[in-house]
Amino acid sequence: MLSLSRVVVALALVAIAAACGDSYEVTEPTSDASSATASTGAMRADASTRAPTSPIAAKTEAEAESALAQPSSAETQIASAPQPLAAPETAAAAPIAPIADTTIHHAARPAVVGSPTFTRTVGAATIRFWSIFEGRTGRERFEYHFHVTVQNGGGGLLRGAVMVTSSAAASHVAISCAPFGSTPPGLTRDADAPFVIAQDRATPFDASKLAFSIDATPDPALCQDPGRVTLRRLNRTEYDNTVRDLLGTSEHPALDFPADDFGYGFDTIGSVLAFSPLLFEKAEAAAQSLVEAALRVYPPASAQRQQAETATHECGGASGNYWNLWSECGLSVQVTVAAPASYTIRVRAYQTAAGPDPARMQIRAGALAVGAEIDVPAVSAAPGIYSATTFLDVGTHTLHVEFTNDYYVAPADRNLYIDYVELYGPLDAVPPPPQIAALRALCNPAVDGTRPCLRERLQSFVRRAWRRPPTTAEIDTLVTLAEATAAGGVDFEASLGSAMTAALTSPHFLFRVERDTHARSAEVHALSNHELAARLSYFLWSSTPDATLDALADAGTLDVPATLAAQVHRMVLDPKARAFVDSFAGQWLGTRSLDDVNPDSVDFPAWDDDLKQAMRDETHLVFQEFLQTQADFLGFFDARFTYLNNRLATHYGLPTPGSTTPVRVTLAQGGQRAGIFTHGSVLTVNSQPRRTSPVKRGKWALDEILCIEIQPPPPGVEGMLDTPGATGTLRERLAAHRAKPECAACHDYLDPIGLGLENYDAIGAYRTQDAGQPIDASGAFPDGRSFDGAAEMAALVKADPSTPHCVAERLLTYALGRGLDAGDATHLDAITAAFQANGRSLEDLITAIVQSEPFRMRRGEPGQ
Amino acid sequence: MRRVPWLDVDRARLSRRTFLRGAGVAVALPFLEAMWPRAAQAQAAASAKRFLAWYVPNGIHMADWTPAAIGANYTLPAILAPLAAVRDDVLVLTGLQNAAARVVTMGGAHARGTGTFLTARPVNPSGGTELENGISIDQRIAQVIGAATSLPSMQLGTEGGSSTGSCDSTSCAYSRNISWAGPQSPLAKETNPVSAFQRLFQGAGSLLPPAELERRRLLRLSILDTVTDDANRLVLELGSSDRQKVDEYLTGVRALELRIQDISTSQCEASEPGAPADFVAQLRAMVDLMVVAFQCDRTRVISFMALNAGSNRTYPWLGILDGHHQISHHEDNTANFAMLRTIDTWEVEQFAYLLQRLAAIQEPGGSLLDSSLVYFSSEIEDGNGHRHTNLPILLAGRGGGAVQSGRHLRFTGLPPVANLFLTVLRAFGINDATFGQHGTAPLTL
Repeated sequence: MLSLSRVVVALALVAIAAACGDSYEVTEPTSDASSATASTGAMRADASTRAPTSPIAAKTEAEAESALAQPSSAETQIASAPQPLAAPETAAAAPIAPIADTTIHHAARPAVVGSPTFTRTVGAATIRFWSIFEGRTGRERFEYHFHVTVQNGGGGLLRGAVMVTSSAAASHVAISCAPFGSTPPGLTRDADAPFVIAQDRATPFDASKLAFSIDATPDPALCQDPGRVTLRRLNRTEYDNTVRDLLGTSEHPALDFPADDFGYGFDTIGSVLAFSPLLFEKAEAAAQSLVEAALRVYPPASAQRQQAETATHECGGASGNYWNLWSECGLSVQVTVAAPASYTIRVRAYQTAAGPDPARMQIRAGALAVGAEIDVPAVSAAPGIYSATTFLDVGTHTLHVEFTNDYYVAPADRNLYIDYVELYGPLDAVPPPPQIAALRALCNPAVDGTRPCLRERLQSFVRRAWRRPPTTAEIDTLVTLAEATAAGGVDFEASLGSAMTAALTSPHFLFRVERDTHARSAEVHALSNHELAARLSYFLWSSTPDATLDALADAGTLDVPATLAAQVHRMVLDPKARAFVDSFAGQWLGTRSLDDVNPDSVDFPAWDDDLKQAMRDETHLVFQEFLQTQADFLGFFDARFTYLNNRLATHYGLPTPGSTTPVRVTLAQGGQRAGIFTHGSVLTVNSQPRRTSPVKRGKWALDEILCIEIQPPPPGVEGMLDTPGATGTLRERLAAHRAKPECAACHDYLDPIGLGLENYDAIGAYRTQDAGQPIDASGAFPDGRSFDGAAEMAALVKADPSTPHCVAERLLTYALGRGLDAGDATHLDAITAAFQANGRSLEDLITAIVQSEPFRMRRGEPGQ
Repeated sequence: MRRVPWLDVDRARLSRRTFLRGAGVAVALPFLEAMWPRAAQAQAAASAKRFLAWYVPNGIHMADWTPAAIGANYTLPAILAPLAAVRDDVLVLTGLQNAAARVVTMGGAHARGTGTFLTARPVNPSGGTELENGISIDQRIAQVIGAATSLPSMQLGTEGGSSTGSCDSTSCAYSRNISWAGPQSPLAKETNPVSAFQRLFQGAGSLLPPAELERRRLLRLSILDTVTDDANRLVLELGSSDRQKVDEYLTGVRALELRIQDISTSQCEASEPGAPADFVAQLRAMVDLMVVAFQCDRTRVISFMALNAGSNRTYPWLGILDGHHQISHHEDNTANFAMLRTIDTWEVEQFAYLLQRLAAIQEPGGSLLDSSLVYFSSEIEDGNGHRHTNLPILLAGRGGGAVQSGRHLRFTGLPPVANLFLTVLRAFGINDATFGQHGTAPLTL
């Protein structure tokens, strides 16, 4: 059934990698394309003679030639005397050859293929090692990934874990430990965690250096590896959400930060989120700006009036209380603004009329005109007050008033007389956000004393900003900074602001610090409750913990499993969970990429921002419904409901719901739309600008729904499909492409899902024809499962056992902020099982992740 | 007038709307000058050299790029035609390979070609979950000459990056950054010309009185002292990979500290760009910014990604409605060749504009271009074959007399581009014996 397994694909890739010479220290074809083609063909033939029943057999040409290679051994049976249970076994073993290095799998599920690489006997048990195709290698390091089965040859129930340690630590490291549950006599059980053996590439793997033991009563700690997340900085989304919750700002300062880099499909990956100097500059600037804005006190509106006679003049002369501008020039006054806001500039003026027009004046702030030119029809008997309003920043501004239409045909003389220039404002004072009001309510420096009040406010603010209670010493440092600032002549609020700015510039704010219990030790330990609160909060809200989480963390009770489950339930229903939809679903399903696609405006005139937004809303609202109800999440793949507005309904050819905002609609049984595969968002972001891309659509589904990783094409074999003038439907062109064996290896997997979606054009509209031919949306997976159309294809994907496991894998990766590795396989299986145990709801999956060891615990890291 | 970015970035955004109409008006701005002794400053002005690297995605259609003749008397092929006005200032180099990108470690050819673009070192060789690369040539140069300017180097581009997914089957860091300070430290690039301008001329044009500016400057230094202490204490508690991240943070703190400490001033004509209306305007604004950065001696080292790796941008203003990456898989079809030629020629036009502007600005010893070395290339040679051999390479400028320009040089035996980088390093007085994985001997130009 499950031929869509990673292992099979990996084997196919071995073949193609060998065929194309795409492996370690094998370089690409040179410019001489003909020789590249020739060698590809020759090597393909060579590879095909080695039936890849075992990955070991699938060496590359380079390795065969390499002095590193040892005789290939598909199965090396090691004769060994029975050992007492739990005793190390050290019988000599033949070295085995390096495995071809091609694919990189993250937490690939162990599977058994071909014959075991070698076998050991420990007591009554036989341990078989199966190398699975996982060679993740480079120049210096080389990894063997083994999967282990344990056969119980004894009389009683065998229960425990198998552990492998190395007696040659210099070359063999990262040996692990795997539980295998209860195994009755005669039966074989998976020890369900791959063993990863990393070593120097130049040294052939030597199984004799391994020691084996079976622990009949395993200490759980021995098999426990929750993994380790590299110190994570806040990404842009998290920064903006965090300062929103901390300071009540509606600004998005991180929009101006450099783009976050992605790894493993997400922008939450600690090891990939670099901290560049540019980012620090932006964060430092943002901290000052945010605190200054948050603490700003707007003065009541008032007028600053300056008489024209005392202004700076470019021309003219005094005339009583007025200044007479008698030619085209102006006067200027200086004003100082304490708060950024709108201000009205008022000018009292009159004219001496002459010529056809009234006198006109232009008001400027600095070099910029404020409004249009103003007619001044008033005369000296009744001078007018003329005004214009503009936004002014903090600081000193020069206001100009300029006479723009002088007229002099003697004796007719038009002049402009100015009495005064007045600035009135601020007009739009902003009240302090509730977070700042609460901070101010804590204490009054005039009553409670400056230093105690500084301490109290900083204690409260830093507790939230750093997601943990600050130490006394840390508050001391900040109080010292604030007092030094105050000594420079600023008021209490500004001195507090300097310490708050420092807190938001600190690594304790910009990074999500998780401390090891013993610095620089590899010890596995539980996260502190505060660290756990931060993980939970950034997972589901992309923001800082709220008061409830803070209180649970302070009480030290958050890590109780039932409490975690209750918090997950509360958090997914909170409006802040929209951040999870935007960030996780936005990346997993690709809706964020709607901003990056450029469907061609000639071929797709319907494409515009409204349609794009409606598509994004549809996918997010459907995902949100699964998040906030207990519905079976696999229904996401064939859901017969969606959220449409008139625009998107029209695009889909469905009845309009009579709303410009999205509303929930039920989809007809057997209709054109059902499930995520038929969402315009997914269909559009996985298309080319002028046509569909069954390959991109298929690759997305393999990567994100089935977790089948397809490596990029080897050099020299890429390309196709878009030859201008090519005839035939895309399906026909793809079929011709797959006829090439070097393409078929991957495209037999890549193409079918996309072909099943050919009824949806490059912006997701339904169609029945392509290139004048009727659409054929049938297809078959390599294992023979066939379908006709999107609904049948979706049903196969939904039923595939890889799907729930893959959803769990993607979500765990996002939640942890790291790539998964072999050590996570056991945890991932357990999470998947918990997800499926009841109603298969998304909340159940999230809860299982939050309660899992990789989420609650971490391994330390030895220092240097 | 301009806003000072560190005072209030949000208000700065608001102000930009107000000031848009005034944008483009040249104003004399006092700005903070780099911190180095006056004598050295005078000397530097006479002997300053600059390095700029310009990246274009998806390779070049080489049939219309490669000159037929070798030496000085070659005819400019179609794609290079925009260089006519500056051809005496340009070396066309063919036959070099990016050997590091050909070591297949991870990801696709675009990611590898881009990750190694200036590092010439195979990326992610151990296949682990951490980033792995080496120092890029611009950063090596900045290590030596960067201290002379307010910004040791500047990274610019036009797109932050697509919003989702992996980039060519690996971390996006390899597809979006060409400058690397170290193995795990890609240097993010600025893509907004207005922000980049404000960063370049930070502190200039403030509306605040000098005493208040000075108070704030000292406060910023105090805050940086405080957070440096925080970070130094934190480092003691961390394992090595976590420490690496805090070290990156501390590098940023120190770089900013140097900029804030500097209180010298000088004058330079610079006009703040307006918010660009589209990609073409954005790219042009970035080029203008690079010129002013060199002219005002704000930095001497710049890297620029005209677009990110494997860009699938359409070029409707050139009549090209298919994505560039898609077209670059040309299948030897002449219609695709024609579109590639159009895109590539446009790319060279933009580059030629930069060179012409640099050539037009005279310094005591010659033009800005004379004192610079400007490297232009792509992550691959040809989009269909995804080859990293025979790369399209231009080296413009004379590096202060280090390079004899105006020729087409064809190399045989596929020397690694890392050897060319060694030659470039020599022009900056850096006599490293090796560069990257394959650079062992400077290329004779």
